[in-house]
Amino acid sequence: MLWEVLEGLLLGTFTGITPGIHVNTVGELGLRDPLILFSMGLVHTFLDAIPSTFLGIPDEGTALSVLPAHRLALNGRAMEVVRISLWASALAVLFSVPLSLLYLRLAALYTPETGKIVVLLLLALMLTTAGERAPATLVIILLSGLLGLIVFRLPLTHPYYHLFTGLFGIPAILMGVRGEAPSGEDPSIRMRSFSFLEFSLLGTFVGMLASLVPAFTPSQGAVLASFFSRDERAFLTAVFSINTANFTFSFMNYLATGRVRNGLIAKMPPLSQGALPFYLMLSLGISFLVLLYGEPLALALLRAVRRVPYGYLNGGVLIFLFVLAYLFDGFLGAFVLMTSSLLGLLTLSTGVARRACMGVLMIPVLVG
Amino acid sequence: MVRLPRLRVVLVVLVIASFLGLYWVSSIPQEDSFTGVCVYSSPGFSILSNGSTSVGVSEGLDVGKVYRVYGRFYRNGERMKVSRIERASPTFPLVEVEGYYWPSRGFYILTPERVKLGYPLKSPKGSRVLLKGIFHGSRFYPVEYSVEGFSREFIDGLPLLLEGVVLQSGERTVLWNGSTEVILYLPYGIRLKPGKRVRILGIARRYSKPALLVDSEEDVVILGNAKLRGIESARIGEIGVGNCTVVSKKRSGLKLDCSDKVLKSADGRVGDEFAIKALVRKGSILCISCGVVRPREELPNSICGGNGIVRVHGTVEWVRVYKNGFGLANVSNGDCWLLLKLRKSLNVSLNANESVTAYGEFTTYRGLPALEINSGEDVCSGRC
Repeated sequence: MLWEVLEGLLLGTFTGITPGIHVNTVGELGLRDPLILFSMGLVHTFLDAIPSTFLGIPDEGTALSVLPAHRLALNGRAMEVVRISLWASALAVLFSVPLSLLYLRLAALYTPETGKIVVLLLLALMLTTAGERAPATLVIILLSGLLGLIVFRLPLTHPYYHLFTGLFGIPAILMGVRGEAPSGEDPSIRMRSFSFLEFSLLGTFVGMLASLVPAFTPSQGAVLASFFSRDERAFLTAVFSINTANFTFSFMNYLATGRVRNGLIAKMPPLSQGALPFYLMLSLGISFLVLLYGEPLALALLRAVRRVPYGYLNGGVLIFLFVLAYLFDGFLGAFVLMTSSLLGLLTLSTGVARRACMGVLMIPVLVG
Repeated sequence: MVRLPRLRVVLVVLVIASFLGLYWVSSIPQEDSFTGVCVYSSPGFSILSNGSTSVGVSEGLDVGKVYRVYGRFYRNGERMKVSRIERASPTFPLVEVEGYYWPSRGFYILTPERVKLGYPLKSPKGSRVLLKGIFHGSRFYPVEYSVEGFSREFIDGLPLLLEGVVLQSGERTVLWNGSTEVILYLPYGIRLKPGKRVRILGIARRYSKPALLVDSEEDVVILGNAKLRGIESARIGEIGVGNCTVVSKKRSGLKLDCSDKVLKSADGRVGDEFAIKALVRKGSILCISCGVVRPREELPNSICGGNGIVRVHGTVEWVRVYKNGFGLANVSNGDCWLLLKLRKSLNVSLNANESVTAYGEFTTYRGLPALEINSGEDVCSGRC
């Protein structure tokens, strides 16, 4: 058992800190042991903020956090973002223990219509809070939706990689090409403890909802959280908690109802609900371990990143992302990455909140 | 910097151009096609296989049906983005499997090796089937099959449908199929009553005796009772009916005057007359419903003569016991007399002038009339 957990820790750490490598990509290597998969998935949610923050490369769970996280990193607060990520994730695990009692009852009540209703509410919320940019927001939502509708028809292996990296990652990197390298070895969180707990709890709750409704992804949860958060740090706290909570609650959902809400969990063999207390204890143990080594690891990576001239680093990362898109899906993958990057840049240029790009998931859900 | 109107226009133009490009790519006529049997299906995903290649498609299809899908392969041909699906006939080689359908904790064909099926057949359990299909993983997925009835031949390891009469139950259950005794290994908790006519489906096994392994309660059908016939003419597997008198009592059962086999599961005394309904077996007859219709006490006093098992009542005139323990007792009722042969093993001692009642068969002792007594309980002296 210990060996499997250790294996999961190592693999999750690898996928978490490696830009562009999603945990499902490693999951497709034929791993079936639930202990390995669970440990790997959980550790990944703690550490995937590192490439998002240092290099501006997002994944499905952290897409909306890229810009604020990268911005903080460029302003000398890189390690603070890492600490926010680690502690917000750990708190999400802690909060999910008592919330599991409520969740197991809720999971049984879910109906497929719930997903569409939630998405409609989110869209309405986005438009009503956009103020004078409402028409531009609507255009970006529709364009993103159209992009999603087209891309999901294409024979792509990793459509989410191309979409999220293009919409959220590449614009962030392009913005930072001529800027300063990410810096800041001071990890202290400049936020009141109560506020941190409050937004982590909010994130855990939203992550729980996101795991109930298949159409409601962690990124859409982040959209919801963005309406409540007052500043970048509060938003990041919520987003990182959503990401981890979404994974732990998706796992609970699988145990309770057998429904698969996560690509990694889909690879697990059937498990009994009686295994839940064990996995909850395991998740607490894993959280503690990641808290121990997460920051030193991130600090080492930050120092490594700073050794490379930032312009070259960003250029190299851009090339790396396109090469990865090519390796995943050939020229078509690279073309989709380019198109979604253009749309991401257009969003920035219009000054529309980038959550509008989540139309890429919302519109296909509504269209069915 | 990025909010410059000119940049915005350029970006809008590029986005539209890229969208058009992507739309064009997505609408290119689908070139790839694949024909295979659906071997797995869930609401949003199915796997088709042609026996050598498998392709996953994002559609819920019916397992066991053959489809031709059109679209474009991705993931090195492991998945297909489907544009059109149609039912099709197999265009790939089919493997033939011949055997017996056996659904039991999974669905199998017994050849007699077990071939696991991917899905159940619409065929009765134990029926002989001829299938054509493909192997995918360790399972066989039939595309077409024909049902060819049941086997009545005893072949080791293959299903057999047997009809017969239960001869014995308890520690082991024995069925008589008209010519052979077959040992039945029934599922836990199933018990069959002797004398019942049954139809049983199981897997034939040749151990020291022919045997049938039955794995489900549903494979045991009770058809009724065995055939009734007069006790003298009843054969194995039939129920004999008649009135019989107990001739002797043995450890193995009661010996009757109407059959050369001992009666089991009944208790009686020499001379009792029974109304018998008993199952005839190879070495015995098994009482199903037996009752004494005339107790031996009601037999007439046959001291002066009689046939078969008789009752003798009188007064002991004299008793003589030889050195070897054998004894003789002269019993008389005033008109007739006879000698009671008292073997030492009877453990009976009589005295002169005692009143005695004895049950047994007429015989002679050195030319004199005598009564052969079977056991000690057939002699009663004093108050009887």
